[in-house]
Amino acid sequence: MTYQAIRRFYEEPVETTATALSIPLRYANQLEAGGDAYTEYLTARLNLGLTTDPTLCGPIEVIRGSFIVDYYGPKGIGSARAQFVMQQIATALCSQVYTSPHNVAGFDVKGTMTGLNGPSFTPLDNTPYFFATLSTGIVARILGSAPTGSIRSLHTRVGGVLAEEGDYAIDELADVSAATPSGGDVLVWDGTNWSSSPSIDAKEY
Amino acid sequence: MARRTTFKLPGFRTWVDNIKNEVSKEAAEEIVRDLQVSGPYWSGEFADAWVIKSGRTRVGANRKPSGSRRSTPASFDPKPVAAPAPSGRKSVEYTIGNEMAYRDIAMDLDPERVRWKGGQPPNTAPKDWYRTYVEAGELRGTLEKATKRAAENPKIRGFSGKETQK
Repeated sequence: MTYQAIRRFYEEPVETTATALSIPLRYANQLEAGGDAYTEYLTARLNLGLTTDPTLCGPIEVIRGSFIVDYYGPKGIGSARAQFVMQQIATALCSQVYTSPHNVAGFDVKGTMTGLNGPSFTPLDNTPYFFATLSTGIVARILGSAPTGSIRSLHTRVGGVLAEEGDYAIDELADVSAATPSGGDVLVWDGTNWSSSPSIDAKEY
Repeated sequence: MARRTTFKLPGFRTWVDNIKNEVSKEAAEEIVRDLQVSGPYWSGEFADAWVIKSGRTRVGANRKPSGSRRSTPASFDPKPVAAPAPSGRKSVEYTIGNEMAYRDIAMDLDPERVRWKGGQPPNTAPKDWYRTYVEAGELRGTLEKATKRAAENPKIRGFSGKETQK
């Protein structure tokens, strides 16, 4: 489900921030079983837009959408709490897109934002909430399905990983024990492993 | 400094540099056509209430609903909206807005009074249609087509929530 992976890519930082701030993240303010409505909560939603961008090389499939985060907080304490919460959300979103691609729900997602709009703040008239909202256009692509049960990332490379020069030092090979060689040392087979040993010239016979 | 055409929409503004007067006018009219198509349409009064004004100004929410009740949506036939023709070689500014008193509700910009609730009549536009239109690529695509070239990523800035004047 590629759309779900993209949605997850943008919702994850909101979810993480909500958890860190102990604010429920929910689609709509629901009453808890046997309880009352939350005094503050967050909602997040992703609305999809265009799915291809025309280029000189033909259409490229990208997912465009509008990602909206709303905050409902208690009235009567000013906008400071709302501003703090939205600032944390904005920071988390920016961090998410800055370090990509991400492996999300089994897909390698690369996404960015077209620019944050808001947050804007207003006390609501008919409900006891102070409301804040911010939104951003999103542009995302699915780079491919992450292989299951195999390497998903190596040395910060994700997706279809191929070996590259510099991936391993010689000591990291399974049958090599040469953690602290000295200048001039050679590798000598001891029957089980290759290990570093002083050069032949320096050995006494 | 580049000659700039700025389009001020409710809560956003966008601009394109170095386009001719007639292209600016056509782009503004295309944006309003998009809004009429994307937005809700039942009696047609909301779609017919879009206006394009010259300069950076405000659009009052002065039009009251007619009060007529329909059980089915009217045939889709919004009135075309003409933009004032710019003249001269200075930068151009257009303000686009809707004059209906309930515009914030129709555009899903009012967090308290939402269109989406159970029962009749059914909604004729998806939730957040306006913000999706601006942010999810359609506005950008319209500006690119109107300028008939791959525009250098028309800038879209700002969102200030409710626009209804009180």
